[in-house]
Parts: sequence; structure tokens; C-alpha cells
Amino acid sequence: MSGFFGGLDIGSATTKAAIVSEDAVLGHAVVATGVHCDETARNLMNQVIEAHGLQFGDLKGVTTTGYGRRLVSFATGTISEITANVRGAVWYGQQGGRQIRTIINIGGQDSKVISLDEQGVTKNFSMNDKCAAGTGRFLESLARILEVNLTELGDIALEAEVPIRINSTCTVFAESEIISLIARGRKKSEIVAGAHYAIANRLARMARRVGVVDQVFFDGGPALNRGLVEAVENEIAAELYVPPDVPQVTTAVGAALIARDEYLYGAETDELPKARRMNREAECNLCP
Amino acid sequence: MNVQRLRLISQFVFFVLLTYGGLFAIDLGSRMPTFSCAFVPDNGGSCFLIGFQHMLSRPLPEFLGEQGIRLLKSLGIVALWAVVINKAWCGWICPFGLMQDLLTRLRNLVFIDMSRFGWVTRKRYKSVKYILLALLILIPLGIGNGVPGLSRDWTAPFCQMCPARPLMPLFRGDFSEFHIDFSSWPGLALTTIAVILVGLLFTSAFVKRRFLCSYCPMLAVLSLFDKVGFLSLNKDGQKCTRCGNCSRACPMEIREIEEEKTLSNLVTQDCILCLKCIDACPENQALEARFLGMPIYTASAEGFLKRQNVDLLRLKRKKKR
Amino acid sequence: MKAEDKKPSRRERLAKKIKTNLSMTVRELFEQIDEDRSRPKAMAYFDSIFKNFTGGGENVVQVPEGQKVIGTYCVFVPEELVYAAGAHPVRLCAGTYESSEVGEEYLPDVACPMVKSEMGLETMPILDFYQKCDLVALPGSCHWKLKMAEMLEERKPVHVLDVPRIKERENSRQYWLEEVKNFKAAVEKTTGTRITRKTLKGAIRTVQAAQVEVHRFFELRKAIPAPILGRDALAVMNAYFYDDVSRWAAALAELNDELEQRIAEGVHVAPASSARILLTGSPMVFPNWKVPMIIEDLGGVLVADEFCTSQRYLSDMVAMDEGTLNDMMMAIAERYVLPCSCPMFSNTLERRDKLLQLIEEAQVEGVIYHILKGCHPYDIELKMMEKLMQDKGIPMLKIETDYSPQDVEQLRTRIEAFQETLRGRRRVQ
Repeated sequence: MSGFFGGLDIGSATTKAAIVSEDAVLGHAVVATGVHCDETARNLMNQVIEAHGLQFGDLKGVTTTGYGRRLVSFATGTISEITANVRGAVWYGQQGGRQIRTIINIGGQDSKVISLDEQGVTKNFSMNDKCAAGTGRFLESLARILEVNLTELGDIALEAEVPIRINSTCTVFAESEIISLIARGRKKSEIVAGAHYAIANRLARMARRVGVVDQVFFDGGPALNRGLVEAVENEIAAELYVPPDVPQVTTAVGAALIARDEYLYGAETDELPKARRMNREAECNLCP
Repeated sequence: MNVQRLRLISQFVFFVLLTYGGLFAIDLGSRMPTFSCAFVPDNGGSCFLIGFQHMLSRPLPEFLGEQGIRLLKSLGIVALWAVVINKAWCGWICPFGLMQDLLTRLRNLVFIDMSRFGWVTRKRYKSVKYILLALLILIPLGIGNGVPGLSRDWTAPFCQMCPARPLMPLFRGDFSEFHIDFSSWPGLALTTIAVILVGLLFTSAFVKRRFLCSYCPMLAVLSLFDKVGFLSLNKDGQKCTRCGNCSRACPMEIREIEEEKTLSNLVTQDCILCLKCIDACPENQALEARFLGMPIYTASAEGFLKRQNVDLLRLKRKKKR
Repeated sequence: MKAEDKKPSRRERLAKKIKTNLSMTVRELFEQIDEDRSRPKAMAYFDSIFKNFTGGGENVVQVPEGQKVIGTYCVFVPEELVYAAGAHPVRLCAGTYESSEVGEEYLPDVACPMVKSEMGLETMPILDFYQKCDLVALPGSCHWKLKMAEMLEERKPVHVLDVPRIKERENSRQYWLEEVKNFKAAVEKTTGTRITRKTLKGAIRTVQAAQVEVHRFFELRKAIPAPILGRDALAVMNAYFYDDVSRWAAALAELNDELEQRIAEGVHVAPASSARILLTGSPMVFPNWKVPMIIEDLGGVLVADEFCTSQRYLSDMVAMDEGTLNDMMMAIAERYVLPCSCPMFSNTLERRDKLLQLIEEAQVEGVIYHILKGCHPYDIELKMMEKLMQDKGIPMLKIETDYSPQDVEQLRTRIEAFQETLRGRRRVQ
């Protein structure tokens, strides 16, 4: 019987869990992060495990990643979301027969662009972790103001002929800008498309700093949004590869794969001097 | 072994060898590119310039025959000396250099400050030695070919004005050259210059280091062999921090040693290979003297400390107290 | 009336609050540091300086009655002259976040956090030794520092040293030599002592002797696996700011002996798998050890650094040649400016060469470039440096931050990912 490995990505908005066997991704699930990271993570992981008729004890390792990675008591290892994201993207790239050289990720409260070398090793990365501008959080507030469902945003955006320019991607400022546009009677679709372009423009600037090389991988929850995918493709002038159905869980899958790699090929992280590991509670900067 | 002490010893040995060598039947020949004056009786080897000037004062057609071959042979020996020993002639052998270095040491003993040239001035004076070298060749040629105004009184004009001529025989008790020649006006002018230069040697050493060397036509001759000499002074620009210690220590005030970061061989026009720059360099392997590519003296942090006389025991003693 | 006199003023209350907060920071920092059981024993001496930092402990700028104290900033104030005049130099560059609150009264928000912090300490009775200084020597090395001098001038005796920007030129050298001579005169005036050839030579020897240990220290740090953590090394160098030069050197000698022994016995603080990192960029002063703490908590090890508060401060030595007063003055002047790799003065290629040298010698795998928000000199050259490092195939991470502890989590993610990248590279190789 081969081993099973779990990966958990505890983001600011959602927690993602995935399990892999030695050669395949078995399953994954997503849930809102809530207050008790540890409990949420355990329940979610159990849910995925049970769906496959396994038991918790069957897991040979669980690697956690994301902002809450140090808050999970049953983790056997932690990894930064950049490395986990890379591992997941490279895996899904191989599944789709593509060599991934650039990764664009939009998360709940940050966004990042990672460039990889030919071997799939991180070469450089750029991260916007200072504020939630132009992230999933921004899309959420956009949907709320326009009184539409978050999942509908993409289709609404595709209806627009010419998007309206929206200058700010700051969640707070954009809100008032959008409200004034609604008051002036602008079409919803044009506002939504404009907002997508604003996000895409911001991402493109980050991507230019790192350098965009084909094939570009696009993941994170907002990658499910077709309107945003089109806007980003336009702004960075490159085709995006969005893993079908799974953009939200690539990082969790990556973490699970890292647990697998470490089990199969040996880990070096375990040798780290444990005494110097931070054991204080990590801050969970839930915003706004 | 402190390289500067070694250099002083070498200068002394050669001074004795060249000035008194004749007494012990030592003769290194009279084709040496250094200021061991031919006027020193029974010298152990002498400067090639006097013979060179004499050979040049012949009608031009003669150079096509035997005279030309003699000249070439003579220059060949000089070139050989220059290639093998390079600028170390100036820093390690030249008795006239020794005089200046000794006077500098005397100045240091009494803590008299020296002065430095401005950078532009220093550069401007660089050409003087080449002008002197040109005159040293052209005047004898002029004499041999009947150029009006150049009588036999101009013979060996450089030797007449060279301060080594009146000075060096003094060490053998020979005062005959220490005079001003009133017999002809060229003689009067040139020998007066020589005596003034002797005076300048003693006074300038209390103001500047190796003052006269900057104008020395022998340096001009040797500088022709800078890049082909067996001895080289190499720099690894990447290791250099441009701290300026080397150019501050350089008695010839050479700037390139500090500024140059790409060129490898830094035996420049005025370099006398005294290696004081390597003494002053605190960076491991930034500067290195080589003989035929083999390292003979390399800059190091440890060596720097030793030469700075940093008392390494001082700390330990303090700790115990 | 009397009762009112005794009531502390608002400023005094503020100073007390800042002092308390600072003590809390120091305590918290040492709680983390003390968790590490692998530290060399000789670090205890240096810890004592920092643990007593706010209270004016035994080794923090302790001068006998009557001895003058001269405050210095940056790395351009020739300490030899201060020692030669029998005074005690103390470097005032500060890393306290708590005092920037006061500094913000004088400076714009975008100002460099270091200058903000210093302004607070200079104008408030928080740390004793800031108030003890009989003269403050301030090089106009960047705009912040130059303006800071102006702001301080009305409060205390300040001597500004103007450092020429393009330092290699002949006129710059002459100008700088004159500046150093002016400083000598200022020191002589403050102390009432004439600096002679003999006292200056003695001072040069004293500092050189300390520098010998500094050189030894940086050599020992390069060993694989690392015998000492980079943050401890930074602390050692930082302690020099406040300590007596010879006492400090003796303590460092002891540490060096211990490190030598550790290397011989194979005792180390980080396993061979730890990513070997070079930290450079804007200065880091106690207690702003945010970045080195994160790096080494995450398993990396700082094997070299290139800071004006550390390596750059003490590694270049005065090279005496002829031993006259003028010669020594010239040697001192040149030592402080010519080899200095502060981006305000040096050209980027020369700085790169210095970094490459360190990278090669210490077998560094990646560079972390620390930029304090508002520290323009480093920020400006960053793009060029990134390109130059890329050309040489050396991974580099830029960390832009300030003294506030707010961004610790974000920094941790970045630094962790960077270290994972370095380990990933190692696997590929």
C-alpha cells in the first residue's frame, strides 16, 4: 500500500486541503478560514480523507503553508506559500504538458509573481503583501457593492464592450469610486470589467519587475474568474494557463507534494536547529 | 624579512660592488643601465651612457658598417640587462637611488614632512626624462655630423651634467670630478648644472622622495622594457578597495597603482619596483610581484599588520592585567 | 508651588514612557536570543552591554569624571583623533523604534527611520550617553544627516564634517584632509588637549590592535559550518559603539579564541544544510535586529555582512608610512573615506567587487539586501546591484522595511521563501 500525504494552505480568506498518493492527486476541498484555524483545518482534512475512505493515521505527512501555517498542531512540516505554489504549479504544468516559467497568484489578501528557471526552481519573486489592494478581497468588496454573486463577476465583465477606467485598486478608495460610478448610471458590466483591468494592470507592473517568460501559470481563487483571466492576459500580453477546475488548491496540492517529496527523498528541513524556531503565535492580519 | 630592509641591503651590496668592485677584480662590464659612474676609478661595473654617447658622435654613414654593429652589440647588452632586471635597477641597485633613500631615512628620523606634487604637475614633468634622453642621443649625433655650434666641447653632454659624475668618485677619495669646467662655455654650463644637481640631491631629499629620479633619462630607457621585463608588478583589480595606501606610499607618486583596476601588469613608466605599494596593501593578493610569472612577493592582510608594527601581543598583555 | 515643581513635565513623562518601552523591547529580544543554547560563552560580555543599555550599565560609555565624551555618527569621524586627545568617542547611530515617535516631530514621515530615532534620542532624556556628549561630530554623509546637524546645532555643540561625494579626486582628497584637520582642531578645543605626533601614533596603534581582532573575527566567521550566528556577530560589532576600545578588543580576543576552539572541535550553531547568507544594505543598529533574527530563526545563517555598523566600520586600517604628524593625518583621512563602500560615495561596481569578494570567501549562497524606507542611497543603487548580481548568478532578495515590528509576518514569508529557493538551487546543483 502506498503512502498518502496531506497539504494544507491556510490563507486569509479560505483554507484549502489536498491529499496526494505517491503519484496522483486524490482529492481536495475548500472552506472559509474562520477564527479557529487549527480546528477548521483538521475538520477539512478529515473531510477529504474520509471522502476517499481513508483514516487520518494513513497520512505519512502533512505540510502546511499560507499565513496560518504555524497555527496547525498536527502539521509535520511547514513551507512558505511561494515554494508550495511553485511545486503545485510545476505539477499541474506537467499534467497539462507545459513547462511553467512564470506563476501569477492572486490570493485573498496578497498577490505574487514568481519566475522559475528551466529546472522549475524559483529564480525570483515579487510580492504585494503590504495591503489588500487588487487582491481577492478587492473582488469580494466589488461584488458586495454591486450586489452580485462573487462567482458571477467574470461573466458580467465579459459582457462589457469598453471597460471604464478605475484608478484605484485600494479596497477602500475603489469602493467610493465605484459607488460614484453607479450613481452616474454606468453599466454594471463596464464597471466590473474596469475593476478587473485595474487589478490586471497592477499585477502586470509586478510581473514586469520579475520578468514574464512563457508558459505563464495563473492560480489562486480569483483565477476562476474568466473576466479577470482575460484582463490579465491583455495586460501582460501573454497567454495564461489556468489549471482546469483547481486554481484555488494548487498551493495546497503543492504542500502535499512537498510532504510526499520529503518522505520519499528525505528532507533537510528537519535538521534545522529547532530551538531557534519562532514559537510565538503568528499574527493573522485579517483585514480590512 | 622586511622587503624594504632587504632592498636597502641590496642597494648597499651593489653600491660596494660597483664602486669598489675593481679593487677585488670584479668587473660587470661598462654596459649597465644604472648610475654607477664610469668616472669612479676601478669601478666594478659602470653606466653605459658615456660609451653610448661617444659611439653616437660619428658621421652617420659609419653606422652602416662596423660602428653600427658595435653600437647594436652594446645596446643588446643593455637591453638584456633591462629585460632581466627591469626597473629593479632603479629601486634595488642604483647607487644614486641609495643616496636618495638614505637621505629620506634621515629625514624620517628627524620627522620632517615631505611634500607632494600636484597631480597635473606630476604628469607634466613626466616628459622631461624623454626630452633628456632625446638630447642625449641627438647632441652626440650632431657633433659627429658637423652640425654648426656643436663642437667637441659638447662631448658626452649628459655625463657632463650628470650629478653622479662629481658625486660618486668622492667615495673613492677622488675629488677631481667635483669641479666646474671653465675651459669652454658648454662645459661651464653643463658642469655647473651637475654641481647644482648634487646640491639639489641633498636639499630635495628633505622635501621630496626620489626627487631626481622623476627626470632621469635612465628611467626613460628602462621604461621601454616595462612590459617585457622578467619582473612584473601585478594587480587584481577585483580585490582592490581603492584605499589609496599604495599610491600614498609610492616614492614616485604613481597614481595608476591605485586607479587602475583592469590592467594586470602595473610596472608603469615611473615605477622603480621598490615594492613599497605591496608593503602598504592590506588586501590579500591584491598586489603581487612576479619573476617570469612566479610570485615572489604578495600583498596580504597579515603582512600588512606586521609591517605596520601592530603589536599583536599588546592585547594579550592587557587582558592579563 | 513646590508640589507643582516636582510634577514631571509632559516631555519627561514621554521620555519615561519611551524608556520603559525600550526596556521592554530589549527584554523581549533577549528572551528570544537566550533561547538559543548554542551561543559562544564569550558573548556574555557583549550581552551585558546591551542588557544594560537603557539603564546605563557598567560597560556602556563609562568614563571617569572629567574625561570628555565625543559623540560620532556614520563611519567618517576619525576616532584616533578623539582617543589621541584623551576623550572617549561614542557612536550615536541609533536603532530604537520607540524614540522615532519624537523624531517625527522634526522630520517628515518618509524620513529614514534611523534619523528619526536619533532625533528622538538627541532631544529627549532617554539614554544617558546622548546627553553626556561634549561635542557631536556629524558627517554630512547623506541629506538626512546634514539637516539633522542643523536641527541639533541650537541644542548642543555640533561639528559637521563635510565628506566629498566623489572621493577619489585630488581636490576632494585635499578638501577632506582639511576637514579632518578642522575636526582635530575642534577636538583639541573641546578637550583642551593638543594632539601630538606621539599621542596620535599611540591612538592609531590602539585602534589598530582592536582591528586586528576584528579581522580575525571576520575570518573565523567564514568557517563551514558557522561557529557563530550573524546576529551575534552584529551585536559584537555594535557593542564597539559604546565600549572602551581596548576593553572591547580584549573581550573580542576572548571570543575569537573560543571560536577557534569551536572550529577545531566542530561545534557549530547551524547545520551544514543552513543557507549561507550575506546581509548588506542600510545599517542595522541594536535593538533593530528584526531582519537578522528572522533570517536565523528560519534556519539560515549569516556568514558575512557588509554594513557601516559592522564590517565596514572597522576593517580598514590606517596605514602609517613616514610617521610625521602630517603623514598620519593624511593616512587617517584616507582610511576613513577612500575604501569606504557607502553607496553615497563609492561607485556601484566597486561595491559589487567588495560584495563578490565576501561572497567568494565566505561561500555565500544568497544576498539579502536590507533597505530602510527613506534610506535613498541604498535604494537608488538597488536596481543596478540586482542586475550585477544576476549577471554573476547570485540570488538576491530585497527587504524594504523600517524599525516598526508590524511587517514581521510578511518579512518572514519572503525570507522563508528565499531560503527555500536557495536550498532548491543547492539540490539542483
